[in-house]
Amino acid sequence: MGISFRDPAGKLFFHQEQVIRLVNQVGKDDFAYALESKKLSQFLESGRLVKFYQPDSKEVELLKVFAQNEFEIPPNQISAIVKHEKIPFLSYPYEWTPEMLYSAAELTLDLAEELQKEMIGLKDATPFNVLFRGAKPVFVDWLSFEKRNEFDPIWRSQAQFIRTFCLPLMVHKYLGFQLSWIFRVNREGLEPEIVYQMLSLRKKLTPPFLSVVTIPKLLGSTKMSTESAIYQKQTVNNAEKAQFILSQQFKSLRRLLKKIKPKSDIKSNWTDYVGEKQHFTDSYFDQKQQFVESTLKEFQPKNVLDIGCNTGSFSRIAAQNGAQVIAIDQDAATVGKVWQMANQENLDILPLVIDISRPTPANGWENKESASFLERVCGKVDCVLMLAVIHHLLVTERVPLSKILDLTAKITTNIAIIEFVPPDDKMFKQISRGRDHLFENLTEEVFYQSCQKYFKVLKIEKLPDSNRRIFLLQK
Amino acid sequence: MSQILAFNTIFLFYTDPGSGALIFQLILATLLGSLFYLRKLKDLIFKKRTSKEEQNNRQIGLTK
Repeated sequence: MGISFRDPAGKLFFHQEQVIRLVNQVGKDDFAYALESKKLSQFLESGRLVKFYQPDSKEVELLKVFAQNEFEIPPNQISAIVKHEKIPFLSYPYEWTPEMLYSAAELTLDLAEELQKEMIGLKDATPFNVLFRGAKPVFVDWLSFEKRNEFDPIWRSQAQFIRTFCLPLMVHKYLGFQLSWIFRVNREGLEPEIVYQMLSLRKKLTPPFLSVVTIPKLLGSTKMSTESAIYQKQTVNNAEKAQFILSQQFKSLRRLLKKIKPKSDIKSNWTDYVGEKQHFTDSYFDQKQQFVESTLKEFQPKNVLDIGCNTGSFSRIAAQNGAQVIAIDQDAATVGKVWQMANQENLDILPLVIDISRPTPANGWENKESASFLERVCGKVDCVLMLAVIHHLLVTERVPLSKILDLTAKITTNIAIIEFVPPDDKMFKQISRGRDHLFENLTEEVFYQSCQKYFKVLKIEKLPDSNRRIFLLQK
Repeated sequence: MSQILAFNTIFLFYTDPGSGALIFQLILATLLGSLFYLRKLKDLIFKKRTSKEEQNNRQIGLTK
């Protein structure tokens, strides 16, 4: 199946590890018009819009045959075929932090606002058209651009922008919702009618909910909402007037977005975990960091998965050593901190809110539209970091050690660095809460033997002021 | 929470839940359209006044 098949203007699919976009007769004119745009060239140059290349004529013919055999698209229906720049790792809005959704919203609004000056409309304003290259958003859908009527004063995708960007950000900021709760179930975001039911009377009657939720909800229940006339394209008699109305609407969306920007100082139980020096000494941290750094320098992995990344100190070391890093943690607040750090320091880290014990499932039509996290990551990284994580999986999630090591071996193509936390460790005891007898047999020797079933154990180092060990494993 | 969201969506299948937002957008666009003419009027008055003042200033030799 293609990555995208809903758009009548074309199709996107993987072919021999490459991302191919077909443009059909429906999308032909709009695509050609977009190619002429100077504004889009600027977005391309700044890396905020995905690049594409023209395949040679031989390749085009082969791809046309492939499209006909695989998707039953006759060659005469295809007006253009392009190869896209490959974004290193696909991620979805239900794996992002609110900060990432916000930056994707800014990019989408920038595009819509800038392009309307060149009479190009953004017809699809959804976060599913944005991916992240490291911590930076990239708009990836070249078929979302259309030629605009200069007398049209309405941005038709504004309601979609509000549903898929603004309302999820608002319910996160003001009601504490996680993005995964919203986007895994509702790909099209939140309707004002649904958000209305969640609000207190005070919130319903005050900004920002009043204009984005309450008024649209009340208008939606009037007779007017069933009139088909509201969906017909409205035009005004003056292009300058249309431009003025549009620019004012964009200004007001920008003001709304500023207001609902996620707070940068959100704290959770995990945001200060590493900083909690009462449990660990400086020498413990220093030696762990030195071990990780020297290993990364020695093996030079290209792609690192940091499982349970917390505030990202080891992801940072990996990125500084030239790796593309995917940093995952189940706590959105800590992942948000990693995103801020990666963004500020311009590091190639893609932080995602993923719980490895319940990784993102496949989603969409036939469960094939959006791949599961494990489908995307297994065999795609050459180094896995699992530092101070294993006891959480063993105790809190009750995942057997063999399963944890088996999954680690499926994910990495080369090495893994795992911190072994023994049952007599104070943090282990804290989470096992009297169930210590269940883990009596978990000794360093047992851990070593288990590792050997899946890996070669290259190195073991004792971490100071604790009974913890750090293992370097290779497949 | 996901179940609540999915449950609520079912009731909205036969109505267009986005219609209220669209109507509000159309109403705002109409209001902004009037604002456009008010601005034009304001520009016209101020321009006239400015050009008259400039003319007066010129007559009494205040501008070069």
